[in-house]
Amino acid sequence: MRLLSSTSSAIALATLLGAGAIATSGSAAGQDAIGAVAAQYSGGVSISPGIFEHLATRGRLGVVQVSNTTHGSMSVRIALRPWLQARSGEVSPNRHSSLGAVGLSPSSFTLGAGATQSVHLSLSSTPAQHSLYGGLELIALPSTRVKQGINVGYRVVSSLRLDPPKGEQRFHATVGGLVEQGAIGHGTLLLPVSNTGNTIAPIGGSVSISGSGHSLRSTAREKVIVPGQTVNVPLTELPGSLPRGSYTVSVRLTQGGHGIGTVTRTIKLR
Amino acid sequence: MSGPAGTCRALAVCTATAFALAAAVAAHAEGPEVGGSVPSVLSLSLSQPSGFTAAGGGRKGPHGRLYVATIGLSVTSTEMPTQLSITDGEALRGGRGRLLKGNRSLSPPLEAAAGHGPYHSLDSGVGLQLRQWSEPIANQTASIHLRQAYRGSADSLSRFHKLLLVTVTAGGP
Repeated sequence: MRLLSSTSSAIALATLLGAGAIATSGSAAGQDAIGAVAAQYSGGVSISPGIFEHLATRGRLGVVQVSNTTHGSMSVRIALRPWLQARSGEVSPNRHSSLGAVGLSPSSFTLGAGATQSVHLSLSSTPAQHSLYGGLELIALPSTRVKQGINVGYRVVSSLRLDPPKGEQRFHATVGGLVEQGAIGHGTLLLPVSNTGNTIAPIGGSVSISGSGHSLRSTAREKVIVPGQTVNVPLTELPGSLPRGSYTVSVRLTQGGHGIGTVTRTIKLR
Repeated sequence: MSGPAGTCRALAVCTATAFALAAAVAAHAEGPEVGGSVPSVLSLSLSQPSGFTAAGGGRKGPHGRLYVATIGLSVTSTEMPTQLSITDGEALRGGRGRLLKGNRSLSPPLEAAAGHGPYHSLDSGVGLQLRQWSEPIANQTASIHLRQAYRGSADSLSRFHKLLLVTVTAGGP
């Protein structure tokens, strides 16, 4: 078994301190205050690691730990869901589907107060694409619930990344037509990119726009795109100063440091 | 660091670790740069919401009075980005996003808002995205406000029920 990065998330301590500082200052300022309700926390539910990453090889993958630090027992269900990805890049687990090739044992259990449960992950067969990405969805419901009023349950979704072995990695994408978002002439130029490869290496690139005696260069913001999904990659902010006319937009796309092609499109600014 | 499970077996341990490190660095603010790592973890704490109370002095709108309730929560996430959303946990039973009593569901949907943000109805069928953090967070508190329009009293509203799933998603794809 080889874990690529799930055992620990090295975080610059300064970043962690920043997070702590945000929490502290947020409560001190009363921002997003939760008032008297805040005092009612009595532990919670956690899953570790937050990202489970492994090569997509058949057999045992490893273990995730589910903990219940509340004072009551919980009824827990775990499922692996494929991602739904919005054009903006945000992902959510598709609750109407599951990643059947990955086994979870156990996938449902009762977790007592203060208890931790190990859940074993295994891959029954090598995926056709040699990779698999999805959300590990944990739903925990308190065993004692009120019959009337609002009950709240915990839904904690971590990331499952089963990456292709190095020899099986494919970096490939297809693109659509340019989209301008925002004000005409000085909005954001977006390029819909479909990841037709099998990795989640971010896709970005370099952009050049030329025409009407003007030219400009920029760097497209990298986006992580789930294989098979399409995301709008922001190419550049159009400066309002460009005169009317026809422009050629050339984008050299890269994924994980690999050049995956050059795309040329024409836009007309009015 | 141990295996994939990491060493963080409880939220309290993670929190203690994070802030012990913070204290250690603060004590050596003038000294050499200090680094460290924490176990990869995603954790959510919730408070059971308060009962519905009349909002705005009990003023009536087209669908009756507005009643509000609050869910307090706390999130720890070493992975980023972290998204907070809420969804109807009983959508498959019908009355999506609506309070239920037996076979009856209230016509106006339940609404939710994060902090001081705008309210959105919970009947859309997909999770309602409320907030996102782009940095690792430790014990980040937030609140979700619920709002329901209802023609009757708070007491009769309290006889309706709904299971809501507060969701944190971390790490992106």
